[in-house]
Amino acid sequence: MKRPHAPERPLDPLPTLKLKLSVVIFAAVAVTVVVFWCGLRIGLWPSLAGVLAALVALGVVRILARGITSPLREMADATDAMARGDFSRRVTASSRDDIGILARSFNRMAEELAETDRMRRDLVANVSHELRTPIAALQAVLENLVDGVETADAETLATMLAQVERLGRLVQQMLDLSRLESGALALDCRPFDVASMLERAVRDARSRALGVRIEVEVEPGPFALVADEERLHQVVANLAENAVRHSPPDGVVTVRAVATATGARFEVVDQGPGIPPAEAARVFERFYRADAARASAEGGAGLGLAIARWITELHGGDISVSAHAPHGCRMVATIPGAVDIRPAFEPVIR
Amino acid sequence: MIATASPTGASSDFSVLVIEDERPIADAVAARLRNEGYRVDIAADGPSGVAACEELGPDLVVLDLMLPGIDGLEVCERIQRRRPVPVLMLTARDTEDDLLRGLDVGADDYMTKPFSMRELSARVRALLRRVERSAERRDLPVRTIGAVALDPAARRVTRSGRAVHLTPTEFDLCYFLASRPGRVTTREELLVEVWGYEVPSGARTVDSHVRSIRRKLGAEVVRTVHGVGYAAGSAA
Repeated sequence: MKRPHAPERPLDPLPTLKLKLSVVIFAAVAVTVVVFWCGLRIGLWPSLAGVLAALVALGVVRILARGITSPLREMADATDAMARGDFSRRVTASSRDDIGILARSFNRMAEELAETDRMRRDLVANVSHELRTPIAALQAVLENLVDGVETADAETLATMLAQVERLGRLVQQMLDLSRLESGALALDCRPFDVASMLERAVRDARSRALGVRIEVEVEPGPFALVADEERLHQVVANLAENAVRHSPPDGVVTVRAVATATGARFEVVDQGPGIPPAEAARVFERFYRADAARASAEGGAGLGLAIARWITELHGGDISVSAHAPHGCRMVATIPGAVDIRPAFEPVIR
Repeated sequence: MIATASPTGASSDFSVLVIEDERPIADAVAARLRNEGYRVDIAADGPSGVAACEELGPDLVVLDLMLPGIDGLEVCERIQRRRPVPVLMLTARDTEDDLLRGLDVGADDYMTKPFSMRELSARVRALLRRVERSAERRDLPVRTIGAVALDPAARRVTRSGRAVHLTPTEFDLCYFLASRPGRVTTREELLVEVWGYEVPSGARTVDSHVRSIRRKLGAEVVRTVHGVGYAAGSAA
């Protein structure tokens, strides 16, 4: 894309705009003088020689000045295109002067805007897909009820309720994520009992687990951590829910909190199919799903892990996933914070 | 505009296979179609959908585009490879690309989620009516548009002597235009004549099928008459 210098831009190799202008002016004056002098020597009228000199000088200036200001016009055109939503335009950034520098940073900016725009489109496509599916189910069942194809028995109503709950969860998660990403959310860090938080966090996942066993462990013993309890509750709940969803029907999910010198480590281990190493970094992206085609009916929209990552990073910690032998995966969230190990810690909520 | 049909004895001969992983949607579609008098089976993922299609030999398939196991597009392709069967595709994505890919692999019609059940049963009825009608077509003559020949008895299409695969809808659309050389047909007329029903989103359906036909047979086969509709390409 970038050429050393375009042949139609003779002054591109010069390093500054000032130098370019000097060259143009010097060339114009020199040409004028030479042509005028030659004109007089071959016996032309002074006024005719003057006009001729001016015309030749004008031509030389036109050739030399080519490409000095054209990047500015290109940028103006590209800006107009961007305002209309077209981020594909780039400007010729072959010159080495100040305008060339501007053109290069302009191109970088255009690239970044194009990337942002692409991500926004993806997000809209994903959100609309996630919203469409439960709405389609609701519309299908409701239309059947209205037309008398199905009767409004308890089972049908429960199906519809589940779809409405799924929509509600999705909207809640999207709001959470947008609040987290915009930084509008402040942490409320206070000491809390980790064991009772874990118990509460897995309650939801347990009620939906159908055959999957969830074990909660706290090592080395009950301890208190200074962090935002509500938000960490969300992290553990999302990790546990994700683990349950990918577990075999009779699998075991282990939810463990380990007190360390600098804070706490939360681990969730499942016996599911695991995640290929190449995809390990992507699982915490919004709307990532292990099986791209699977919009799971349990509400796995691919937002839970993205939320977990944001909350962990807001605490200054990090979150990662690794394989767990012989099969399954292990999600680890490390949260820095003051730890207080007290064997007889009184749980705040029982 | 779209009446809810009462169950009719005549349609009970038809069987429909619903391939959809969202249980509530699959159940609702099945209930609706059973109420219309069809035999309905459900498959919840790609591989079992292909297997069920082979085993049951349905007259029509309602297929979700996003399926676990194998992608809906591939399911459609595999089903069509064995035996041409009308496919009504359901999709939660509605970019032009997705739709074109669907029509490319042989879907006859598509609906975007969320969709109306009444419209779904109208489209199913229309697609099945076409299966019936194709039996009456045995005696119709072979028609041509330029180098393209359309044989209604075998439902075979050749372009300069080479066979080209068209879906049943694409075939009917081409044949209809070819049978009226030099005349322009509006999108609305095409919906009535080819699809057998009239829907608000229908004009877009016609456009997508025309695009797909042009990709398979060449742009000159179907001529756009701006502001009016389509016509068979001028004999070239």
